Amino acid sequence: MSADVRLDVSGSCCPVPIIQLAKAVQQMASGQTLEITGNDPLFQSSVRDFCQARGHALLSETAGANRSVTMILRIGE
Amino acid sequence: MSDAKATPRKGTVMLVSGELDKALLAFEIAGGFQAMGMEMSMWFVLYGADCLRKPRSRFSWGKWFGRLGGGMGRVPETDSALQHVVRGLTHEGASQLPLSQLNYGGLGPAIVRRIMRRKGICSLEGMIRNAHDIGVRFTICQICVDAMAIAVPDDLLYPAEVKGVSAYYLETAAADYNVVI
Repeated sequence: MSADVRLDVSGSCCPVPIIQLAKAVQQMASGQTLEITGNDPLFQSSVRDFCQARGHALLSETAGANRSVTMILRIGE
Repeated sequence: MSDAKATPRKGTVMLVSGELDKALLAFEIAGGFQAMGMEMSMWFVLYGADCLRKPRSRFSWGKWFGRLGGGMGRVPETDSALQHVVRGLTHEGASQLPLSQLNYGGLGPAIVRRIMRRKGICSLEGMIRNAHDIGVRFTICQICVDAMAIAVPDDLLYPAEVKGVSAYYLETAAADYNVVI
């Protein structure tokens, strides 16, 4: 399954990942999926908190090489 | 169920300090909270406005002797030479800000910026740009604009409004989160 939007925020730290995420989500419609990859220590918890606060569903988390994690979320209403 | 689907919550961050560490904190909070769904408004008072100003070297002629700007909120009739002095002594621009501790005559900020670059931490300039791009509103206190000869909008890198304590009161009274840094 390929996501509608792919975002890579590797190499950046808090708060840049969630700011980039918020900017991308603003352009998206409900029901679309977004895949975001990052590698800072707070990346996973930041994205989880973002989904909880903004009402999006976290579909999957996949660990990659070099501490990188890829997370897929579905945009809520 | 989302927390933010009803009326979005509001927050304010007031920056009084013209220091790199305090400014980083203020923009981190404002940008981060805005991304999380809270409508943030930043207020800049006294030295806080320094980070919004166009960077200017301490040694530039215009900084000491240039014409004082007019613009929003200024009353040029009551200006004196002291406006030139204040402007000359001010650290104009995010790149010029000292640290509140461990400044060591300018060595401190250089060390902190080097560490931030290496760790991939966004610079202050980047954080200000991110906060602005994501919709955080900037407001500067009018009496500070007048007393410290800040020309709005010519001196600033980002658009900002010029308002007073009554507007600040209305914003904080309606907000769930208000901090002064």
